Amino acid sequence: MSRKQIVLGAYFPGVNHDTVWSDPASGSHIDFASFEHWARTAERGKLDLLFLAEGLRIRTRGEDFFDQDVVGRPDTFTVLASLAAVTSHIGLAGTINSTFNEPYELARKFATLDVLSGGRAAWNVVTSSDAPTGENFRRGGYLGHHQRYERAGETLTAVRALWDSWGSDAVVADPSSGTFLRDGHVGDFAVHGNQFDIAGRFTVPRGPQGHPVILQAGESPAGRDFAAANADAIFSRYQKFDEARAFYDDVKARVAKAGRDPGEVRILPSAAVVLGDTEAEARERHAEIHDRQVDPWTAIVLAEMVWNRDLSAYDPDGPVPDVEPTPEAPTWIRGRAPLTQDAHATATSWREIAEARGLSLRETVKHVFDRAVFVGTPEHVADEIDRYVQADACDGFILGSHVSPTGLDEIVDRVVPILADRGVFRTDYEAGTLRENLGLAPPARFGERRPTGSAAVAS
Amino acid sequence: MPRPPQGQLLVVSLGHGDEPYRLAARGADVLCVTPHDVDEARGIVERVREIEAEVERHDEASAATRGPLEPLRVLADLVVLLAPTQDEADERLARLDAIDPLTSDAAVLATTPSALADLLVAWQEAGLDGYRLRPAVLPTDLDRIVDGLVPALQQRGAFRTAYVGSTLRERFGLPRPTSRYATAGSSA
Ligand SMILES: Cc1cc2nc3c(=O)[nH]c(=O)nc-3n(C[C@H](O)[C@H](O)[C@H](O)COP(=O)(O)O)c2cc1C
Repeated sequence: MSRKQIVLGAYFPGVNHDTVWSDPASGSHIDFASFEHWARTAERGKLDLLFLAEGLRIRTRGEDFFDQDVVGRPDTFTVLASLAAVTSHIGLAGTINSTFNEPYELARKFATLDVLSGGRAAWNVVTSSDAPTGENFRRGGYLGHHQRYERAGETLTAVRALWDSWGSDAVVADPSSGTFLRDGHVGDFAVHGNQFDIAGRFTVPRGPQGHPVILQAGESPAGRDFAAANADAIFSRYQKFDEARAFYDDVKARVAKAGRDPGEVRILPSAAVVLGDTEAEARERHAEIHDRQVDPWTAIVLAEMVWNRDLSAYDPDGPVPDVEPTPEAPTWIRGRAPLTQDAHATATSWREIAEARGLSLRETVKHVFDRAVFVGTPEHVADEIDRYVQADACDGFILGSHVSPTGLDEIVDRVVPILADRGVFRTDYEAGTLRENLGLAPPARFGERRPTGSAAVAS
Repeated sequence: MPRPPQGQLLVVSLGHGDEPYRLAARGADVLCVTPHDVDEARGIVERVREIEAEVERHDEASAATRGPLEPLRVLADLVVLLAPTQDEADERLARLDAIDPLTSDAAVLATTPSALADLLVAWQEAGLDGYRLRPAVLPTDLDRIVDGLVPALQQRGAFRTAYVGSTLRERFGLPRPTSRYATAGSSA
């Protein structure tokens, strides 16, 4: 049996404690030069896609600014468009929420990115986690969890209807007959559902991919079902082998249940990489980095994410707090994706870990938040990546490191070539569009303009 | 996002009468207008200055720290169609008109690069700060603006030969506004 080809993306070091901004090697996380370096490096490695996360609320802790992490993040569309100009093959994936955006604007922006980049746009659909983010927007934090996914589904249906509203052959531009458009219905759309009642004419011609690639990130059953029904790929944080396998099986079963071929949906966990010339050197380097990622104060704050209350009176070198979490209280740390769906269960498991291993609070947090899944020599890391993929724990990874923007360099220079040598990763881009490079089928209605008024999504 | 390099981005608006002039006077940095000759340009600029004086240009939060706002920079919008000779310019315009008459809110000037350079210099006397040129045909007229008009203006000492300053505000001679949230001791 032939070996699976690995999908590889690159994340930009995030707005969280994993990014060690105080590292002497760290550059700006906002300047174009940083994004450009990162993008060119990823393309040099022939990676499939660049991946940007999104956060629309500055983090606060209680009433205070939460500034031990990197703070601030520029607009995804603008960054990706600027990167389209300095790259030519790599995919450009943006995390954009479906809760606070309108389908018309989303369709327009992603179609434009697809046109400008020659077919490299991808949308990571998220529903965004918190009401505080909603306060930035006209309707505020008005959607409960269930409705957020209803809206996500209707948004995607509407956006796809808009992307289909121009046929591939809509533009004739024939000077001899003076005809610009093939027919008078180009761009017509009408979408009615519980969340939307919109109709009009769409302005952007169909992009090279027909539909930009759809990614999803969200772990609840509703999120998994949404992905199973709609996504081309899933961004996950299940990085340990067993949990990754379990997630893979769960999602692929949902994909089949949704009436799709399980092979159509790629599962891509994020993975941080720490390299060394020897295993011992890599482990030592990782220990140093991890010590800076989870410093004593960060350990308290991460525990507060679970407990949803002020734990500053607790000693990070003391035991895991014995007080109970208060998930029902007003959100203590705002603007950060929740770490758990069940605070009490998570607190209990932390206490168990601490007890079983004799760990302090900080050591427990370090144990739980060990995001650097791949630590070792380049050969070892390549082995591990290949093992996960061939054993169906995932279909590839979105890789990164704790340093922006140069952290990716050694991964591209030392790990990726080993995978290419083994024949499990490309040595050059196969095709022009991201969809083609990922081996995805063209969208079902490719090139076909749907009849007006048929895009009803009401359930 | 941290405060961007310009502090406040350049705000440009197009106006064809008192109401939009008033809007611009309240909040814009640059106003584009559509005169059809130098006398109309002079009239428009005078009217804009009157309205600026009338409107208390309030940018409430920053007024206290920043003092009076800069006067609006007034640019004339012009549709330009260029050719090496006047006859060729007339011919090009006639050809376009035959397909679909070229109409615009702005004046349409079919002329040569050097005649256009003379006209732009002459209209400045009406109090205009500059022009926003709309090439009639892309890329033809943009090429002719860059390769013909710009050197002609440079010869007349009326246009830069290199960029000075890096931000767009600097190009318009506009300062970086102080942040309304700046406090003593913090940088703006
Ligand atoms: C791996 C992963 C990455 C995510 N990245 C983002 C992000 O960058 N921006 C964001 O607003 N939400 C992000 N989310 C959260 C999503 O908004 C998700 O929709 C939210 O968690 C609520 O859905 P859920 O209950 O199904 O997880 C992410 C979630 C996961 C699991």
